[in-house]
Amino acid sequence: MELNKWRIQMVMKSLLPIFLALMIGYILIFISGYNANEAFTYLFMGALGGKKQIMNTLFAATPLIFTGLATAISFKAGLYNMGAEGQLYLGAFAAAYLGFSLQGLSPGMHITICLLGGALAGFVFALIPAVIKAYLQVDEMVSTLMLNYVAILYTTYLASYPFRAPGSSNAETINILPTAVLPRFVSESQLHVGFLLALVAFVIIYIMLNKTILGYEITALGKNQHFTEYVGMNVAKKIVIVMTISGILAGLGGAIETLGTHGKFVSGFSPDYGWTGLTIALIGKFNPIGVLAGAFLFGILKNGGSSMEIMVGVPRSLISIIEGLIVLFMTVDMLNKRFSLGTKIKQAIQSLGSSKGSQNNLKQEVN
Amino acid sequence: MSVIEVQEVTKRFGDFTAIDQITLDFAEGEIHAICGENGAGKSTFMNMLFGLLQPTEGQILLHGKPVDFHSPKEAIHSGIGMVHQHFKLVPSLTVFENVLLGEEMTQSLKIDRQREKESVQATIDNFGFDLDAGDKIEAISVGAQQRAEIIKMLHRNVDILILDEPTAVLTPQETDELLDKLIELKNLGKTIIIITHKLDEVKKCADRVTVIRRGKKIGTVYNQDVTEKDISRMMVGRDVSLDFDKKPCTCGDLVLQLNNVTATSKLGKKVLEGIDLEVKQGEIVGIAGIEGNGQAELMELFSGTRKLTDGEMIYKGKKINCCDPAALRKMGFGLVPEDRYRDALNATMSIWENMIAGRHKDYCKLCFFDDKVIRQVTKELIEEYDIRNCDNIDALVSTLSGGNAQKIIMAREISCNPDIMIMSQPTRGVDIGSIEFIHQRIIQLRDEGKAVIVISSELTEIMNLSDRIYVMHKGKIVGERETSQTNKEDIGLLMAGINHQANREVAFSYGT
Repeated sequence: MELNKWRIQMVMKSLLPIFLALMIGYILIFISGYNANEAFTYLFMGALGGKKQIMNTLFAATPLIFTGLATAISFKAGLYNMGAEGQLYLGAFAAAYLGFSLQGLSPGMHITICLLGGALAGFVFALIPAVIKAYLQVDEMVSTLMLNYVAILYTTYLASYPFRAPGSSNAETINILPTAVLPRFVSESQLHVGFLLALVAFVIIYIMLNKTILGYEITALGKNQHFTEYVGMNVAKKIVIVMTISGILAGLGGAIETLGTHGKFVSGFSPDYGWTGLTIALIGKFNPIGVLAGAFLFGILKNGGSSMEIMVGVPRSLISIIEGLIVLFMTVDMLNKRFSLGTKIKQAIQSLGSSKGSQNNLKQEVN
Repeated sequence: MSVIEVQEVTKRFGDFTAIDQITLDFAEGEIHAICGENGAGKSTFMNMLFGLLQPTEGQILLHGKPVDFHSPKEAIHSGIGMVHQHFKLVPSLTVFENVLLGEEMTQSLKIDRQREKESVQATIDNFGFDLDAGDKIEAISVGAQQRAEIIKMLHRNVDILILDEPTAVLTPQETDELLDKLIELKNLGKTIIIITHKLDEVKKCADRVTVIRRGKKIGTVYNQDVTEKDISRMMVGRDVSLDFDKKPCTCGDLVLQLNNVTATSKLGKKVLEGIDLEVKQGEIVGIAGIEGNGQAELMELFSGTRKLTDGEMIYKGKKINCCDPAALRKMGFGLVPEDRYRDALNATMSIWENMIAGRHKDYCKLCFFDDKVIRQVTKELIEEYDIRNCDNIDALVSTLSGGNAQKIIMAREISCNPDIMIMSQPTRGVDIGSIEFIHQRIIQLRDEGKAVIVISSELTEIMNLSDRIYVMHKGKIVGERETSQTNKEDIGLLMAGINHQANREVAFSYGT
């Protein structure tokens, strides 16, 4: 019973920042001189108003599920993998390379190989910070953050020079072969089979975290590393496993973007999927279900945002403001946890309310 | 005449009643001991007197007037001071700075250090404490730190002093000094409330004793009317005995051996020096010493979380100088560390998750947990080890009291069937009923032929359990004794670092 109450509280804590952010977004649209009601109607109708709209929302959510899960699993283990963006790029390039260079394969085979290639790229690239963290205690937050630049700039170089599509004005590779393309469900929506793969990844990660030894060890590691080491789990090995699973997920996300959305590797293709994934992991409290919900929310904002822009003329950057506000309010929650801000406010209000010695109390509470 | 009257006070946390209708009075100028098992509600009760918690029902009268404290500040203002078990001192500041923290004496904008120091020293001298107001907290002994805590309260002119487990961190000698001091303070007219498990101390200093069991008051008695046995019976609800009839030790093969082991801290300071030690099958080896003399580092060495810099550690004839905890456990080590909630338990995980930690791999089919088996095993262990308040094994382990949490650790480690069991402070903060249980288990392990090492700063525990005793002082082993051929005084002197020469003289004087 207590556990349920706790769960409801956790969900509420995630919903509140979203609600507050939307409310402020509403006010901002209003004072910018647009019809806020209309804008919000198009925001939600554009994202959820019909079969096609919903499919496009799911399409927008697909890469975010991968990067969100990638970040959530590492954060859950107390490891701060900030490198999802870089791992995503490498996965995307690896899949593109295999996609246009391997010939004469059956579609199923070709897609599988490309996905494995993307996963492998993410794995190898995450292995670097993982190993130096596990065995040399190098802060993974710094190393993964820095390695992002390596991955993004290196793939840009590859797409600009050695693998640039002949005659193209952009830094991009040639198209992958038709056998490597992830098929769409219907022609009028960009939603492709990659979404199902994202759901599969979700189910696997969910089961792994909740039902298996590895999930238990990851949770223990994230909550108390001393304990984990003391009762005889191999902490260094766990760090490598968690970081590389995280890398594999991000790499897969990149591969699926290449195979399903662009059909080639395009330099700078990601509108911060990695960082949005991080936000989603935070909203979802590192829980796979929370990540799934968060990815849909950001899918709604992204997809609905464009219809809002087209129909009402509200600039899409407002959506970025709402996203930023969500993060801001999440931070307030973290501050609350760390400095018990809420309790202090509550106490202050209570002591104001009580008749005797109210000022005195307030002073002490502030102290 | 009573200074504090507590009338039918009840404190509930949700559905849980921590304090159930307690009515109690504290007389002016008495030492009143509050005894009870872990989780009985002693600390909750005191926190209500000190304004850290507010009663759900009932009221507290101070000098006959109802009071309603919402913070310790208000309590101190009304003359109630509390010394917590874990000191609240800033190590890098001096004694007088700590005493006046938050109430600095200022002259315009500057702190008048000279006046501060003089005023605190005056309080110290006034009460005849052995303490220098100018010393830094980090440079003085634990006993002196505690005196600083008491002065902190006395300097604020409190007449009622609450002490929460004050002797837990003290050596036997320091404990005696403290108890004498408390009696002196009482004679100066202060009212002293002392929370403790240790009945010999209660007998030494208290005027009246109140026993609380499971949130209910069992009774208040005059100290002179009762024996230690009576009090422990009131606490536990049955007869308790910590004197066991141990079978004589039948030692087997050598299990673990330390040869000239040295370890240094990160700063290069030697924390362990030239340690020679051995333990055999079917033997309990006690390691005595005042806390902070290298026992914690020794335990880290045993558990593989600290590497030795010199010497060798040999287990069953094999050198194991650089093993991690996982490897040691595989070889048959059972480890009960000192810091329960840092190393031994994961406070934010459930009871069952903690119960299977370390051998969780035994409970699964193809990487998946076998829920049914885990639940059954956990329930069996809870029953076998008489762990209370554990009906819901999905509850967080941190909801359990110290004694029950410790029993979870013992249950887990013993059920792993180790060849050698190494425990540090196995009964710290554990109530007498649980101590009895844990001690019986430890002796049972020995009788089964396991090698056992008990590191403890509790001299009685060392004397009761061990077959052989090593005494540590400043990172070295300063003495080794057969328990049957030594006594508390002998060990106590070794703990204080009295050298062998002096020691021999003392032994001689005991002889005559």
